[in-house]
Amino acid sequence: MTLLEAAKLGDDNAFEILLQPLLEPGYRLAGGMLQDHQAAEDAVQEAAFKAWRKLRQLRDGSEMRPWFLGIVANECRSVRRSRWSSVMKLVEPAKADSVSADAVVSGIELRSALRALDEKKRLALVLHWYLDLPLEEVATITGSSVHAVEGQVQRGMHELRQRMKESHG
Amino acid sequence: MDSERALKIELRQALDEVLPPAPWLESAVREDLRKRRSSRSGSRAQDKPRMVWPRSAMQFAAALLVVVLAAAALTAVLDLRYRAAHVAPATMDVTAYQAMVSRDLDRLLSAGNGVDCVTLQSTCPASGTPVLNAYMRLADDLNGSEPPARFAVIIAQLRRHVAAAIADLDAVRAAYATQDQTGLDRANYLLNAQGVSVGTMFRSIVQSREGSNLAYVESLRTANQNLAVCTGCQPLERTGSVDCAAIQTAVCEADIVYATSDVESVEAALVSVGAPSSLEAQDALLQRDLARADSGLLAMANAQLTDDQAGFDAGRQVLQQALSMVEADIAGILGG
Repeated sequence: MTLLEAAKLGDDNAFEILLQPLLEPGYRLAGGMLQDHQAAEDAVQEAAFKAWRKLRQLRDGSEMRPWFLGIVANECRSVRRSRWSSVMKLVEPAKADSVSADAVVSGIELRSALRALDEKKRLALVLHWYLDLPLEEVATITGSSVHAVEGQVQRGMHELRQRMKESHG
Repeated sequence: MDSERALKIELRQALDEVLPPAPWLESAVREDLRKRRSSRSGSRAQDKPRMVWPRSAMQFAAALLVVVLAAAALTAVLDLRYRAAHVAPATMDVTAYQAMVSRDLDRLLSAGNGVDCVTLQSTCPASGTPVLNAYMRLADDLNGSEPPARFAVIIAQLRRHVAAAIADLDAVRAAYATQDQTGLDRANYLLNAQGVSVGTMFRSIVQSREGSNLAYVESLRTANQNLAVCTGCQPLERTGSVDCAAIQTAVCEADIVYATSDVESVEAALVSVGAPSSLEAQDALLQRDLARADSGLLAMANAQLTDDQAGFDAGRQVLQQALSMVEADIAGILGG
């Protein structure tokens, strides 16, 4: 019996073993989408519970990582809809002294440009660029075709550049 | 391709800056899962056959819940008023007060974000409580201590926003209980706006320091840049404006949120960089008028929640009067 089969039959330890390597990418995905570590932790926690509840819906032969990251992405959507994310962003993490002022400004502008992208492009960019996932897996997570994801990444990148240019005058 | 790679690296660095490692996440998730599993008797809820209640019983239960929530809200408000009126508050110095406020802010942030109450399919009642508790605790702290003079005006506003947030939380629960998604969206939107107001004010108190004449004027000038062109204020000030022809519309809600943000930015700036003694009198007048504008906006937001046109109009009148005075106050300081 595989771990997944055991987890589906109610073995909670098996589920936790399966979940453990997915938490870090889930956290990075939520962090990339929400740009707030506390909200990202909440989103992953909530996604883990939903994954546990819905595990039996995972089809045999399906990979668990794209399925779980899809749940995290949905959770991020809920957080953004609630607009509590703006409340949660009140406390900016302290910047390391070694980081130059230019780099800090550039980081702020880039994050702001990413936030301004529509959700599909932002999700595609975060998954492909930040999590380094192949386009095929991004397509599975987002429920799109590889071709569509490729287009979203390209358009997202183009928009990011444009916005960065605009902010530099 | 090189520029693509460079942008990718920059993006990663930018996101890493706001995303510190979270080595505790695994244990936090495991702990949370165990708690929530045990509260569901160790089984997956969606696989069990669901008990179907008769529609009339559901409606009765929903109505009962609304009554109970309304009673709880009333009790909370009365309790807040009673405490404000009857408890002899302790006087605190600026540093101690800032520390208390900072702790309250942390508590509010760690109470979670109440996101479960966003849709009717979520599990709202269980998750709203920590946020409500955090607001109640915050109200207790504010009422149980006398703020230093520098914070007196903003603390009075903060109390109003906290009370409004508690009312919005109740509205969220009531809308959820009656399965009213539109009401739920509106209540969540207003609740979030209160959260932003509370956060802005809190942060200004925590960061507050005494400023020189130059620093104070510069801080005010910067904050006033948005207020001077306040796009949300203009339609709100005009009685015949299209935006708020109906008060429970998204565009009217947005105008109020934007206007509130612009007014509170100036309120916060005055607290963040305290006035030097030479400008104390003018600062006090400006703070008073800004607080009135903020109260007018708050009255309008509260009226939106209950579709109270008369309350909305009264708030608008306060706002109109206050904003013209604010403008004159600021011109007096910046021009002087």
